[in-house]
Amino acid sequence: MSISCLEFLDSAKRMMDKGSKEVDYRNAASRAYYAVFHQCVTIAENECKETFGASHIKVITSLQENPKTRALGNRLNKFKKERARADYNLCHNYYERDAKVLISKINKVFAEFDIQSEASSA
Amino acid sequence: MTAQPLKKVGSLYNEIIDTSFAPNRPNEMFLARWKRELNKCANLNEDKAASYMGLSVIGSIEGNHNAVVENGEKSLRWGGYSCEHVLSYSTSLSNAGYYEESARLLLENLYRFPDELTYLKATIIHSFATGRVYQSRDLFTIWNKLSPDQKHPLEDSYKKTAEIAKERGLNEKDIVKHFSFVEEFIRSNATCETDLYHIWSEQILYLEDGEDNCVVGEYYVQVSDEEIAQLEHLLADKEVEAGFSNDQLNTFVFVIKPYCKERKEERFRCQSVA
Repeated sequence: MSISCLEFLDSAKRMMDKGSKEVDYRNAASRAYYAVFHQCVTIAENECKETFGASHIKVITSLQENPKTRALGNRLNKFKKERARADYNLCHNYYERDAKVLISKINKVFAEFDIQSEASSA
Repeated sequence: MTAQPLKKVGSLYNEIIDTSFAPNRPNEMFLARWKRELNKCANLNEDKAASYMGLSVIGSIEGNHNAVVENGEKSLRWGGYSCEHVLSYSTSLSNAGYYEESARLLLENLYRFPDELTYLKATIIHSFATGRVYQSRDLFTIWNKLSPDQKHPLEDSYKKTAEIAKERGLNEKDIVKHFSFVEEFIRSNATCETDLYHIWSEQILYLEDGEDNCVVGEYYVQVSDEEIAQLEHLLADKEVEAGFSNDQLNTFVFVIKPYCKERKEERFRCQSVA
């Protein structure tokens, strides 16, 4: 991989800093989702020794089927719905704070990944 | 001097209802004045039922469940369980974040209003909003008998949801349990930024008709971004701990979003048009 999944999250934050239109907020939400999605793909593939590629449902299901990662699968599923709303539901307003909150939620998941990786390397 | 009790209570009630949808909630002074006036009307026997109905609405604005129930029950007793009073009480319960109680109230009293389309409409919506996907589907049979020329706008999506739930082998008892679980979670964990309104949540449900058909329930709460992130994180954990099946978690997905200024204004505009 030539970029890390966190770069999607950084890109989302930059969009929020510089953007001022609804489309910027929607794009930021979508990018933030992909940051956590890619991280989840890595986790799911490591756990299952299987390749999931771009199938979001397969990644979510696989995480949910493993007791260790079930809550993460549940979280990813919620993020996916929010991203779908930002990307596809154009007739419904999407506000700046919607994107900010989604980024906060995803930040929280990354913070948890950091804690887990610190714990496993200690 | 001849008093005009109904007009007085009625205009007070309308004033409260108008304000309850406004983007900026009334301050304590207004609420205290309304409460004082309505209590006075109730004590003077000036349309007791409407006075208690107004007090129940104020209870919902304040997020005071006890006041909603106490005054709501009184309005029903004094109003002889009229359609208007049951509907108002039910709305107050929902506005205070007690969707399950609101749905039960409507379903328990449905037999009183066999021909009331407005009542039936509210019952269908509240039943669905509390996870009674099969019951709400079945209520369309009554709707279509009462109103053969006017199809309910939500009939197709509600029926589709029931079909999806049935295909996935989900039973209504478990779905209702899940909805109640989330409702209770929101109520007990979402604290508002002001002391006056300890909770201001609103539940919006819609069917996402995509590759993974599901119903998305969005709870809008009035807390900080960090608190919302924390709440949803915790909710995802608690749903898993509670043992809901993956099929159910993927069919009924609850997300927590901010009740931001723009959303309040949008809601206010919609209510004004309606």
